[in-house]
Amino acid sequence: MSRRLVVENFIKEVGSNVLKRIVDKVTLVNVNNVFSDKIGDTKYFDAISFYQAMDDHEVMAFASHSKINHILNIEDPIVVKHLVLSFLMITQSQIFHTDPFAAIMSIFLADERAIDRFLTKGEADFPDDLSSLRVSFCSSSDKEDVLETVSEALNEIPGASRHRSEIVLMVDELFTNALYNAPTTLMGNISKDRKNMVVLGSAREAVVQIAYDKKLKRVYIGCTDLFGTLAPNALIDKVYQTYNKGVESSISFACGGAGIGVRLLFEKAESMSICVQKEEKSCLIFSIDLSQKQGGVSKKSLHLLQV
Amino acid sequence: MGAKKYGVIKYEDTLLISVVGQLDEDSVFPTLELSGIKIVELDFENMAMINSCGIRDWIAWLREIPEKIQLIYKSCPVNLIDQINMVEGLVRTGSEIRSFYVPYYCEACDFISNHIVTSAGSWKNFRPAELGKCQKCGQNVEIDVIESKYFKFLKRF
Ligand SMILES: [Zn+2]
Repeated sequence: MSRRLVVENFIKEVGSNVLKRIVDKVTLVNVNNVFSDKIGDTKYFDAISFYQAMDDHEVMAFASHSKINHILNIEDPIVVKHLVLSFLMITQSQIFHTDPFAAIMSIFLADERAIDRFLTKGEADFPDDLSSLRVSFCSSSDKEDVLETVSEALNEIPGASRHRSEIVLMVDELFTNALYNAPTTLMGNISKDRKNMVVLGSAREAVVQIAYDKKLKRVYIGCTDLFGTLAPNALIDKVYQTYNKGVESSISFACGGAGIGVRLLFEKAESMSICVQKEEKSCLIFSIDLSQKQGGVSKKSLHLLQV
Repeated sequence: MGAKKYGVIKYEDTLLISVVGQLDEDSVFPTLELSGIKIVELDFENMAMINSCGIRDWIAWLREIPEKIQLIYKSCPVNLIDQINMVEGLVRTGSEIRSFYVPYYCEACDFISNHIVTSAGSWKNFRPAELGKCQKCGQNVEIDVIESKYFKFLKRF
């Protein structure tokens, strides 16, 4: 069966199994069908798209051109959770305002029954008793402590050792992004030279969070800053350019820029969720499947939310 | 916490540079005295990590080294190979990768070991060992990277 048909069947199943009042609020898009011709159509604004067998470059190309905020790999073992997250981000975005990391984790860590209750009955009762590692920081001099704390925490997670250097690198990228990129729109370009010491006011403290799904052997790495300056679609365009033109031509030598850093995060992760409350906070979450080899899988799902 | 220490040794027409620590926003790259130098050997044995800021600064630093000087990369760690696969400019065309590390994972005792492989003049017929024995518990270990992705860079060398 062709990829297009496999995805089509998946979408039909979603259409017939999910509560009508939920599924009717969104457009379900077959990426393997629309990829070449209909992308960029505004009717896909509130859409959830599904694909099979595309590499990272193709997924980013689709994300950049289509402006669809939810792109799900139907072979992702937790695609149903991604589906629920997409529905909630589109229809009840307010639940991601207060603590986006906790809200997103409550879905990723929910058990099958809670997921099923939402899809068939519309009951969104996901547990919010998240236990995660939280490391806050407000200065570039905090980096060593943040990375060490994360590295130590990984000792407690079975199977994390093979991914330790990847996870620490991801936290490093998120740290520099929160410290150097997030404040720039509000504070001018002074902090963009990454050799300069940066200190955020205590009211703007950023936080790195790590959560672990013991059952599904996944680690979630998140970072929230209190600037909310990130523009998810512009960021996706930047990352896409690193594939399209090559990383080297996309690097801004004069100043930082998150394109290459997020490309690096995206490559290593199996999912990426970006949640931005304009001028309030930006939260980026990446997941790693600990049962997989190092270097990242190409069955990625992604979510973008800006409110 | 970036790599501020570089061992720089001149030996006849060769400059040996050891990169120590992390290549990141705090790294300070050495100014090189290149008169009479034909080869620059870069040793990454003691490099801990390279992030996106390190990549940017490394590329800018490489541009200072004249094209006619041959660059040789030695003992490239796994995280550097990952980045070389993503960013072609980390190793400029015409350079040589003499040796790099391949990670192996033991599921029985959750132990990672990195094994160095060295070029026998060409990488053309190179095939990594897929399996081996764990140096800690003796069980089978398997190569811990997706081979088509990790060894992609070898096509250039
Ligand atoms: Zn072992």
